[in-house]
Amino acid sequence: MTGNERRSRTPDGPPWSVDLLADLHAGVLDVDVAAELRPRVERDPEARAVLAALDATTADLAALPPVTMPPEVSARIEAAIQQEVRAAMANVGLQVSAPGPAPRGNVVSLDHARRRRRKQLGWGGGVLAAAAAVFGIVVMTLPGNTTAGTPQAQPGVTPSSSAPGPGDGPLTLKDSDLATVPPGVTGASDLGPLSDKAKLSACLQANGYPATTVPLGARQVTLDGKQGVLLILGDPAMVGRQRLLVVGPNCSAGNPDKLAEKTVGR
Amino acid sequence: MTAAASSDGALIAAHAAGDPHAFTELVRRHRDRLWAVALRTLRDPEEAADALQEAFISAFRAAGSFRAESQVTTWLHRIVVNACLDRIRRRQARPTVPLPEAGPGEPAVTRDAMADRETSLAVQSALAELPAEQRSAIVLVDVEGYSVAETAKILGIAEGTVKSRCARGRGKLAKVLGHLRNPDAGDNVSHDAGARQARRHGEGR
Repeated sequence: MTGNERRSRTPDGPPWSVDLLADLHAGVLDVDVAAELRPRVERDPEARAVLAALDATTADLAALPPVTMPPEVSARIEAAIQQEVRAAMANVGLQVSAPGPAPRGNVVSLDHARRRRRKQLGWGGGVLAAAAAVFGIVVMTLPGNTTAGTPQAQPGVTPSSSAPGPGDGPLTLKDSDLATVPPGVTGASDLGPLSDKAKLSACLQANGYPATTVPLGARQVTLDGKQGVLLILGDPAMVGRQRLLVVGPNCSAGNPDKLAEKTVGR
Repeated sequence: MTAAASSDGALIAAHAAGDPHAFTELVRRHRDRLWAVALRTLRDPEEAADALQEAFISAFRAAGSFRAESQVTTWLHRIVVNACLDRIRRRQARPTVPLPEAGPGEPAVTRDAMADRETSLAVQSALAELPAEQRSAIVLVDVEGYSVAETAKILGIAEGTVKSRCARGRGKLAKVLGHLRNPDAGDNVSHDAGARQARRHGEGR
């Protein structure tokens, strides 16, 4: 059957079926069929009653009172989401810590963590990679993490409460480590020499970013032997893409002191 | 680092970048509308809560693959509606009672039960009698007020199919709700071949 054949058939009536009138009412019929049918329907009291019944039905549906999510359901769902965050962290943490030796001292080797992440994060997208990064913070700040063991995610832990501070020492990086977000940086606020807000804004501006940019994470690093601060800068226009900017300690207005800048993610 | 004024897209980006609070903020923004859709599609608060939780966890995990060309709300609704429809398909133990196909002499059901119910309860009860596909279209278009185009995106079907499902669903609801006081009227031509051929979209559900 062709479209022309369909259009050529305007159903006879009255009477017409409720199904057909409901189709007319909902705009299902071809425009020309509907245009031909509508005046005939308007002249038929029974058909008009059906259209009125359909109008009354949609009015009833539209008049249903709005509902709001009960607090207990909301609390339950938020708890489930938090558990998901912690579970993702714990999964990645187990991969990071075992079976190789736990990182010692304050300098964290990225190669080890990354090898394990790459091996076992096949199911993870940006979220889980980010969760891995967050978990890296947890691992680094767990008490006694210089001894072998299985790190556990801490319920309720947040980057702000567990982010590495200056006492953890700078993260040692090579330029090639900036192909992805290094673990332990997302969510951290270890700004070191850029801790002063005005200095951070001036530094970001010197590097071409708006002064209001809020880093998604910051960590003091040693990049190929040079001291600096690694900043993760999100790109709201492109989900999953970030800029990794490493600046030296002299970064300030008019002096970018840029050690490296990479785009990661897609 | 989650700004209250962030756009939905920025929240998804922040979540994908590791902000542990961004996704919860996104859920808080849209939870009531999504709850309404889930509750009215499933009609059971426990099941609706289960479906929403499942949907949000699924969205949490899939956020890294979200593409900015789609609206975040459409994407979330689609995940929620799919979770609800999956649940309906799985629960064969509690099937809905299908209404008879507009055959002559078929009674309009549950008039006695409706008599002592509030209108909204009657409408919700009537909605439960629709096949899930018709109900989800009706809930989105007629109850929640989404456009046909938006509903088509949420359900992943053609706009014509949305209209067709709404038409079938409204016809049945009109009978159940008593707006069609003489349901036999006009049904004598319901199998008329010409009428069926005239429909651009033949699928009824």
